[in-house]
Amino acid sequence: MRLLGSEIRRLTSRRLVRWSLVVSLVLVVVLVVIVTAKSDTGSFDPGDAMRMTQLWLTRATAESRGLNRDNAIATISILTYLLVVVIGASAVGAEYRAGTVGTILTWEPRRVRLLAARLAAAAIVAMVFFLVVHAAFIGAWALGVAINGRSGGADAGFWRDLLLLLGRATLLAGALAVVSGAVTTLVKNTGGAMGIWFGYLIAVEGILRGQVDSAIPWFLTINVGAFYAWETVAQNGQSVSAGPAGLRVALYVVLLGGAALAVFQRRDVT
Amino acid sequence: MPVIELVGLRKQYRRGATVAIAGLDLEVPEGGVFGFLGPNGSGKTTTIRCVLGLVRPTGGSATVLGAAVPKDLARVAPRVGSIVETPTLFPSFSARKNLELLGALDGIGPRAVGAMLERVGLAGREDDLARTYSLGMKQRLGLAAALLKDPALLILDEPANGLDPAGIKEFRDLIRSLGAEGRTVFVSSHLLGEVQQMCDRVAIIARGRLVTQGSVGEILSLGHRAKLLVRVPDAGIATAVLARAGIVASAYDPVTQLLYVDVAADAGARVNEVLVREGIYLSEMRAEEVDLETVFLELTEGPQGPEA
Repeated sequence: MRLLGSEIRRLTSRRLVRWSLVVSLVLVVVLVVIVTAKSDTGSFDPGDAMRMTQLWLTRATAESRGLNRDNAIATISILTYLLVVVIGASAVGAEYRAGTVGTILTWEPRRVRLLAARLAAAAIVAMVFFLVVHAAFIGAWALGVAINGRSGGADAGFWRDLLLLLGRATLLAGALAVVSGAVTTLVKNTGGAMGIWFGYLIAVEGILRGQVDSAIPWFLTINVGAFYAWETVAQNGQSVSAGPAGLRVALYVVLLGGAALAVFQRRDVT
Repeated sequence: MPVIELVGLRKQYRRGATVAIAGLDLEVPEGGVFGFLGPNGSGKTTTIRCVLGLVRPTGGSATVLGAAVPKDLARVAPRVGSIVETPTLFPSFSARKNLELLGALDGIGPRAVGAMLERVGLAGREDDLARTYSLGMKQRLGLAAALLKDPALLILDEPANGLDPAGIKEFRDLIRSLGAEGRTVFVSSHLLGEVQQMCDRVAIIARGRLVTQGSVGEILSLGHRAKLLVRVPDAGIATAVLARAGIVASAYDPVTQLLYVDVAADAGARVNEVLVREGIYLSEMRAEEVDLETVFLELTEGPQGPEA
């Protein structure tokens, strides 16, 4: 626990994490302004109230659900995931850039333990980061509701769905941070890891999507989307349902995390 | 029990098949300051990295404070402080923050951190970002990090890098005082004069192998036999006079005007007598000083040395 606490402190002391939080909260404010303008709260009636909830949060109607749907919380989630990927990569990459890997190993030579703590710290910080940003967003929605006196569609079922969505989405944030940290461990460089991420999204998912349909169920993004929205997502005749999607994301975490641990255990630190 | 024991330690890098350490045997006794010398590329830093578990040896064995490396290193890591080459700490954190984060790994609190910053002379600058520090200040910060664990064994790789003369003297005094406290300080350095002044024992390596090890006195005795230096008005005549008496003068330095006579220092009276008897009066006579640098160069440039 001491090691994990130290890793969390080290990561949260980094300006990248603090600035990412500031940027995210600014984005929340910007999005709130945009969505508020779209929901036309000046002439508020029960229909607008429904529309406001639908636009801001996950669903007032079945059609508005999902990561790629037209609601602001999904937009916030996607932006937060991008930052979480950077934070996860930086949790590992910054140590290589500063050369502090060796220094810390002279304090904690058990490499598996050290890297596991670091990846766990990245996951915990990513999940807290995700929750803070989304809490700010939901808080802004609640403020809008308080001012306008409406929360169309926000019945008990809505809140249950929203909590479940946030639970899944937060787990995904942790998973993406671990995957990003693991990839960075393999390449020893934050920039290199970002290159792999974008290379994967463009070269692997972008090209294979149109060429090899059978590969689609293994794409990270489609599995993240299906698990986030908790619904079956279909593309090019291939469908991915929510439960298996979550398992595939977990499999990627285990495989990449395990590879990172194995490589780090044997690597010479020079 | 040796504090560090290396038996046939070997490290070969796969790329290019470079052999950094070629079967190194070394014993570092407990207590005092142990100097670890070798030319550039001789394997000093790789050896230190192996001892600290940062680099995996390809052969042989290493034990530190009785613990096999790297298997049992975690057991003794809290008693081993180190600086490997340039201290590496987070540049965007303050000195205090850097040390607090490291200290937290061993349950060392802010009070000990403050005291250590004071001890290494960084009090007053402890809240500045590490990136704003000069190389000398970074060395001090690195030393503070190494000492924070109150280690029984301190491993320092070129600790005087970047220090000004006053800083080097301060560092030397600090290292000697640490050795005098009963800790073992294992220090690699290319400042041979410094090593001679602060170390009790020395090991010299070349090409990844041990050339010799022993006390500083023992190492100095391995150098060429000290000659007697005499200053005379005419070196040619003096050389001939000495030769007739069976004494060889092997060299003359026209710059210093000193004649190198191949006898031990305690034969000075005989040399003086021979020359004076022929009317040659000496204006200076002294024993040649053999320092660690001279011995180091003789030993490392020999058959086992880098040019071999």
